[in-house]
Amino acid sequence: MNGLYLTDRARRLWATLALTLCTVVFGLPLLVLLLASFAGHWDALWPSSPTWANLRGVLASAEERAALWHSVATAGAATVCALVLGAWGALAGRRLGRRTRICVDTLFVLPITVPSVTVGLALLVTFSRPPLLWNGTVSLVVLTHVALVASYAYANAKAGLERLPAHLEEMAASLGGSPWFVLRKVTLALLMPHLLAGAALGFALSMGELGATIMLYPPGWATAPVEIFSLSDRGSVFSAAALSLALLAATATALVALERWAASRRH
Amino acid sequence: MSSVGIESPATESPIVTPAKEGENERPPRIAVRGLGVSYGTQRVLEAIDLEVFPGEVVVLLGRSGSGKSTLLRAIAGFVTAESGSIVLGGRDLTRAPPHARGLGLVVQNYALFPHMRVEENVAFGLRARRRSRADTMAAVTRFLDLVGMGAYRQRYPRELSGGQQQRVALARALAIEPDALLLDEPLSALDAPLRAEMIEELRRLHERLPDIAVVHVTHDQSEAMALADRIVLLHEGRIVAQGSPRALYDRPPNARTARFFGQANLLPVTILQGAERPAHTDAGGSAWSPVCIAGQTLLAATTTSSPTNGRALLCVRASEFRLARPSGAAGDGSDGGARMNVLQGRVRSVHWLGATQRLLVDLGEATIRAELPERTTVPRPGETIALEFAPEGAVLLAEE
Repeated sequence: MNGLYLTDRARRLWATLALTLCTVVFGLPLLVLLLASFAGHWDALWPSSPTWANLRGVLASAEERAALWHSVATAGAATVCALVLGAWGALAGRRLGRRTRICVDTLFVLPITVPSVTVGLALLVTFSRPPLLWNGTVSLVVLTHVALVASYAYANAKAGLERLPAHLEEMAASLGGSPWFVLRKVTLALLMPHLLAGAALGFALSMGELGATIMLYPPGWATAPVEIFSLSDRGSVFSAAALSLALLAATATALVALERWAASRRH
Repeated sequence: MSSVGIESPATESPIVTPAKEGENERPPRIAVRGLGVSYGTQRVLEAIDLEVFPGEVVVLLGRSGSGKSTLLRAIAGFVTAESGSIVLGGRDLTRAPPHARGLGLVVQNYALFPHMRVEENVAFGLRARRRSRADTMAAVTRFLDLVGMGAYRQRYPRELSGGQQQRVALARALAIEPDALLLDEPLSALDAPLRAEMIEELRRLHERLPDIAVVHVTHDQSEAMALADRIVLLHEGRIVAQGSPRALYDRPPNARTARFFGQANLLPVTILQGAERPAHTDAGGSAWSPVCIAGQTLLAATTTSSPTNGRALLCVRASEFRLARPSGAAGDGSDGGARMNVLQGRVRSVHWLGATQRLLVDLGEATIRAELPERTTVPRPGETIALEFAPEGAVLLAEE
């Protein structure tokens, strides 16, 4: 592992430097956000006068509770769709020729290589003229999220399929398993950890998605990130911070629940 | 048990040697006729005819790329037959998907389902058939006990050794009570001692399930000899020979077969015609033909596929040779069946192999490899010696 030959002293020095940088760049802003969400005042360098009022205010506001619910619902629906689509694509991809397969790969990867604002705008303009009049609907928001996270589900499913031990599906078929039986009991069962990893990643990304959503969310379906953006835009930094914290908690809770469910299925 | 089937454009259709008397009266469990398989433009199996009867162990033997595994995979339904037919248990299943074929398959890397316990693995085929839970559990117990893995039903495959995994794979294949058991290099992943043990295990298993038909694919000739009622030798997608192991060993129908089994010397000889010593059939019904190599005359056993004139190959196993007694003269045919062939040559090298001594003896036109018992007085390199061997141990084969 030690490809570089540094003295212990030099090693310690570099490690300290790297750690400090990471703390300042990644850790500190989150810490400040945490402080801000509990702050009554922010006059000096640090937010001050700790209070529950911000968080209580967010949870009491129907608008912001709804935003949280919209995020969870959108992310949940998008994740399920993306999972089905990604697994299907990966499974079908095995039977395709090399060229078609490259096309499928590209299709799945395209939405995440393009800026999310662009994806949002593209979907908006595409679905705002008859007969494809779909803008201003919740479904279009979900569809956008599916497009943005299906890539992760697909990539994970594909990696899982490549690691599937050789001959298992043949063996299952030879033992009398119909294609559907083999798919459920062997292929998907073995793919499950990979699918769940893809689902977790997709869900977390969807919960935080702003760029595309802000382009096309219908009135009455503002998601938590959209709400956070408009709160901070209006200058309510403490409320925005508190809502961020709530969003973080909701995401974490959902992922822990997913992990628990997966573990319970395994035993 | 001595007739041998061979297949080549030059001879008639193969003669199948059934393993046990009377088995031809029962319909074959597997009947492959005129099977052809291609991968892309490459023809990997050509005009394969194969029948496997209940209770018979047929070993498909060949080097890698010979088509033996493809033949097994075609029977199992993973490879599409381009021509010909596959009849299993009396039903034409040439186009049937694998799950409709009812065959038990065991492969080299075991292919146990890693996310299922041993008992779930064995139950898989029965669950796919929607058997009742009670039936399934009874079968699981029965077949796990049969392979001696009853104590491991709650384990996961990763907690088992290779040999144990292979036993579970066998139990899983047997649990569906298949028409035939297909074994694809089942012992190749095991080390030598374990392999020997599993060969014994397979033999015992077969004694306990006397009715099952087995197709066993291997590249290992000793494994084939130990297990087969009948060996089918494949080369470049065709059946080169088939027959009982002893028949193929003692009377190989062609040079390729001779080379595959044991250490055969294939000596270029000329068949002597007419005046000198004509070919003849002795009282016992064996046919003999005089041949000549490096000016020395020998007597060779012939089979229906032996050539009758011109150049030929004489197949003599390395273990057939003995040092001729110094006073012994070359057999001149005057003492009937007891006569021995004698070959003189110069010793090129001697290697001690433990149980035997290996000699390379130069005849001028060819080099003989001879394995002599360890206790013989060993000649030195450079010495001229006489080696003797029985005509029964020398088979006349066509040149390739």
